[in-house]
Amino acid sequence: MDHTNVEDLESEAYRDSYSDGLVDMFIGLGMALIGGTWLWFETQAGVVGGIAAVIAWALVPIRRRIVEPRIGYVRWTPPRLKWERKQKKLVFWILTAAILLGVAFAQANVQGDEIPSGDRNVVAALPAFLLAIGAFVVAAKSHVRRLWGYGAVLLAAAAVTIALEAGPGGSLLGAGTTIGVSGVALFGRFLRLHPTAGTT
Amino acid sequence: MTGIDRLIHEPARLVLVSSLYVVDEADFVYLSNRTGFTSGNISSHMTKLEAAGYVEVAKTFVDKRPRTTYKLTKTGRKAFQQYRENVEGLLSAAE
Repeated sequence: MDHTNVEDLESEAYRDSYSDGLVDMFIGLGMALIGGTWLWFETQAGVVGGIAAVIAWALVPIRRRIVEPRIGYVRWTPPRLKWERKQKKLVFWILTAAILLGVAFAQANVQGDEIPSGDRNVVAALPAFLLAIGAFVVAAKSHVRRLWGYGAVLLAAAAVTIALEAGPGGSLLGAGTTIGVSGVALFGRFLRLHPTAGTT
Repeated sequence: MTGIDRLIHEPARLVLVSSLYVVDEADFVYLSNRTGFTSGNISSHMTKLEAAGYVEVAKTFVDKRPRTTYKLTKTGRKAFQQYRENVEGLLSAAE
């Protein structure tokens, strides 16, 4: 352990506790499912929220069963828990805004509402753009470097959506798959480093 | 070295105490992963820290598996803060 101060030690310990890639896998999977739903079942945009909710609920017990026995149990300090709650709220509102935008876009398509083509492209790119902003904000606050990469992927997906005049589904499917694959790679590395549960 | 707490100053214990200082509480597996110390090593140092009133040890069962949790007491936190101040003072005086 090579640290100059305890704040660095705390930040590194906190970052390391999320280096297993499971959260990345779930977020990537959620985004890919939501994107796929919009892409192929545009008229059933209502299921989008349900998919995201089911995925979010599954993460906690899976993490407790697989990750915690390997890296151990830790309860963070009250200021860190407060910070974590703030980040979760921020991510929740960004996700909600992105989903609502996509639903509104899908509904407008279904009802045949006239959206000028230029505005239409920007609206279609907004979910990926919002998620990119969210990734950048959390990356800056948490110092998790891979989040800058995820933000860049989402920003590129938003740009491609505008360039190809596509709907929001494709960008989320592409970016979600990339993030999910990154999560799988991190999770594989985590299991190699921690093949069995530790003993107390 | 006046004012330097020798119980904390021992290198392995310093690593363990600083690891516990930045969290609220942690179990044996977490500390072992963070520090790379063996179970015997952690146990012997924790016994000394517990005897000095610096660490609280709790043994529980979670999903039918034993879990040993460690937490710095208020005395332990104060002692570590004092240790940091003393070392910083000593180092700045030496410059």
